[in-house]
Amino acid sequence: MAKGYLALVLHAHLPYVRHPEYENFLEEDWLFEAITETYIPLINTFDSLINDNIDFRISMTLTPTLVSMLHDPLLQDRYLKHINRLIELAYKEVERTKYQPEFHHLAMMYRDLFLNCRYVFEEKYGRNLINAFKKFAQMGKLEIVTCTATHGFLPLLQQNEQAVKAQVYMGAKYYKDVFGFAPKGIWLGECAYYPGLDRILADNGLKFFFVDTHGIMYADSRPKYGVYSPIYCPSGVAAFGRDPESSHQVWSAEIGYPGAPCYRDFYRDAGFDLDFEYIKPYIHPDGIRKMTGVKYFSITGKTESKKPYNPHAAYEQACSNAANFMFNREKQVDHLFGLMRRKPIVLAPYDAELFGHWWFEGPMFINQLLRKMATEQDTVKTITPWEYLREYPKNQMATPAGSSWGNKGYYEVWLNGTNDWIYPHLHAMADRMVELANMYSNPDENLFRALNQAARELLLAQSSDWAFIMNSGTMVEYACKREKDHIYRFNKIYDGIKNYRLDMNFVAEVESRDNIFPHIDYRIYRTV
Amino acid sequence: MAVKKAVVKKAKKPAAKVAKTIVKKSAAKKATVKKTVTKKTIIKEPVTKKTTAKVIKKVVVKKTITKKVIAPKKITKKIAKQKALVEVKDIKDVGEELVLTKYETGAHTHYTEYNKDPLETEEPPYSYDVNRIVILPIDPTFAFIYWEVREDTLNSMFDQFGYGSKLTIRIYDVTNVEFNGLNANEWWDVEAFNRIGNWYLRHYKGDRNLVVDIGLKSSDGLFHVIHRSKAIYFPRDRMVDPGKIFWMLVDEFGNKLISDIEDFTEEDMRLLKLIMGEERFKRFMSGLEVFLGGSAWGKLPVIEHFIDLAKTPSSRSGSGWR
Repeated sequence: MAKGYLALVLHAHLPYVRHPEYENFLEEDWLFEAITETYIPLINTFDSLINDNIDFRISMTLTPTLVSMLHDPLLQDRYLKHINRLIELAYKEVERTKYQPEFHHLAMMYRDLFLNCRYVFEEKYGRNLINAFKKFAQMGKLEIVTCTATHGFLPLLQQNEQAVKAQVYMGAKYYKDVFGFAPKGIWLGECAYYPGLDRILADNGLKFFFVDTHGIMYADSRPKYGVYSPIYCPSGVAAFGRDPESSHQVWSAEIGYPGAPCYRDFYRDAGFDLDFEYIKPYIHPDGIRKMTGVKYFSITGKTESKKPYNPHAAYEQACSNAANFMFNREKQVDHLFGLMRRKPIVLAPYDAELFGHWWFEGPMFINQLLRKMATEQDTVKTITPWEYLREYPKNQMATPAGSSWGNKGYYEVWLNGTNDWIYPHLHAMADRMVELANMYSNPDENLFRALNQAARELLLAQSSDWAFIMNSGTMVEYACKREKDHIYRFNKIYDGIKNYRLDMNFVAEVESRDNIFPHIDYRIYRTV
Repeated sequence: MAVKKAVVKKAKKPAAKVAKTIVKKSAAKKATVKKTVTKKTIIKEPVTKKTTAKVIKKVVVKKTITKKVIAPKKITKKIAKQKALVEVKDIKDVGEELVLTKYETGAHTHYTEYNKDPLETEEPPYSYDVNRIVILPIDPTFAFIYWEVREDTLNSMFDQFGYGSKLTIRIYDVTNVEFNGLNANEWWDVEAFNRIGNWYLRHYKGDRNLVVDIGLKSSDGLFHVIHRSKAIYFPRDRMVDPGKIFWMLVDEFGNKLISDIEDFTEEDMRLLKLIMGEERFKRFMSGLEVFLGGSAWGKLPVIEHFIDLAKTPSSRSGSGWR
């Protein structure tokens, strides 16, 4: 009999990046790379486990922005072009490396990987990877939780409660539109919680959410079982806390698995290493070198002289890491069960893009871990948070502490000297949106379109990713531009409506670009 | 950014010493932040242009992939940097590094095509023409405050209360209080200087509610409120004292029932220590678990100045409520 549970949660998220106005747009690569390196390998992992009759449970967030992009025909077409270009490059690489045995087998590996991606994307799931995730959900293997509409950082939007409500409502509603049933749980953008937020979650029928460890430890009542059992907020919504131990094993630079010398190096990429004229068709058309995803070297160690990547050694390492992770969970659960006298739940949440994109062998690790857990031991079982709540409907009641899973545990990453300028705008826009929603209850068609577009612009501006990127120092120019564009577009529509000079050509143009949430109704912002 | 720049520029005008200090410190803060960001960018950049050129040359000559690129060096540097940090900070920092790679395309020093976007766009407005003041939490003891007062409001208030009046921010601690404007646990004032601006505030304790007012303080010491912020709760940074444990039963339809109430006993304390691990538990008890490595304190010196000001007796006004 199992003595406890492991709840693996993969948070799959990307901001809404879709630029029909350009033939090639660099930041759309975020999506394409994630599809090739993370989402398809995870889908293949789940499919292989099901084919081999392995019983497993895993949870994933698929954020509304990501789902919208995966659904979008333009981005689907562009992904296909992207993967076709990669396949062409891989064939050329097979030819180029035929007298270099240490690289040749890797070139063939990439050719096969890219061909498989095209097959899974185009033929198996009809260009829409949501179909795959839906399938796993309906088989009861995968629990998909929703997220706030555009990954808004709610503690910093609480100035206007209606803005927070709209983020939560749209997250839940969009999920229902796409998957056909209501979500049980929600991933709050950046796990950012503030006391009182749970009431809004309860109003939207949500049963649970996740917080970082200190969200539970610093709750307003001492948690009897620490983070190894959820707590109920007074609203009845459960909060699950992150287990620090399992996080440490994966995230840590010192002892974390992804840093093993034989694993593939993220930074060494053919896009930079190869002759310019040769690689030109596969980088940006302006001649800007970028990553292609074809990487030949392993991490090796603290040296500039990298060894060629050896997939067999990496596979062995992934198996060994999976065994180690399982061993540690067994010991941990055994220990906790003895103390708690009920089955503990070990919550291990990670960014999905860590697996595959950064840590190339990550999906292999998950595959091996789930296989081993199902077949090699009985102490720990995988579970979804909702299943755990069904087994243990009685839990301690407490209000979690305000927290996030960002650096230093609170809100500083999203509010500091690099990004504080956005908040006066975000709050003013939310106030203006509420003002418009309260003002117009029976708009004509044009006004209805304009009001809905204003709501979309507000939601897109609220995406926590822009503040995060501004703070990070990478791609800052793009994040600032996006933020400013959404502010401008919102305010122009607002002025147009208020002053009876609505420019419908402008609205139509913006509708075609920022086309997220096609069925949005601006009345979600009404307060009267 | 537009708002901030404007505030800094305007603040240079007054001759008052205090104003000058703040401007200087704001500039220092900006410089600090900028420096940090630049440093970070350099670390994360996988290959510099120079490196790329070097690589191309080598490939052309040898027709093979050269091993000498800077990328590994960068990683080594990053690892070395992380090693120097304490364990707990490590987890969070590395997490962020990994998340960042999601946005890593390798080409982030150049891209200007987006700025040629044919669709019209403008810089965000400097003002929204409203009276408002907002306080936002950053961490348990750190807040961001921004405000805006309409020009006509300010002029009419100066007309009414005299040109010797000063635009003032009043900060209230309203923890466990139904605040009515008069019953704060504590409050303090600081002069605002500009009708549109922002400041960081460091206070000394988490787990409390703060409210801020923007108003005019007339020469007779009376404070005339222009706008009051929403009360904002600042998170707790340590474990609460032992108290009651409430057990709740929730069915799948969301029906709730408080089934048991018990005390958090010494035995529970012992158990929790064992569950979380003694070392980690200690850190939670003292609030160090998420604070090792420091928060933004020191990065933003303007705030320390702000608090010094707030604590000086001259800035406090025990009378003059309105």
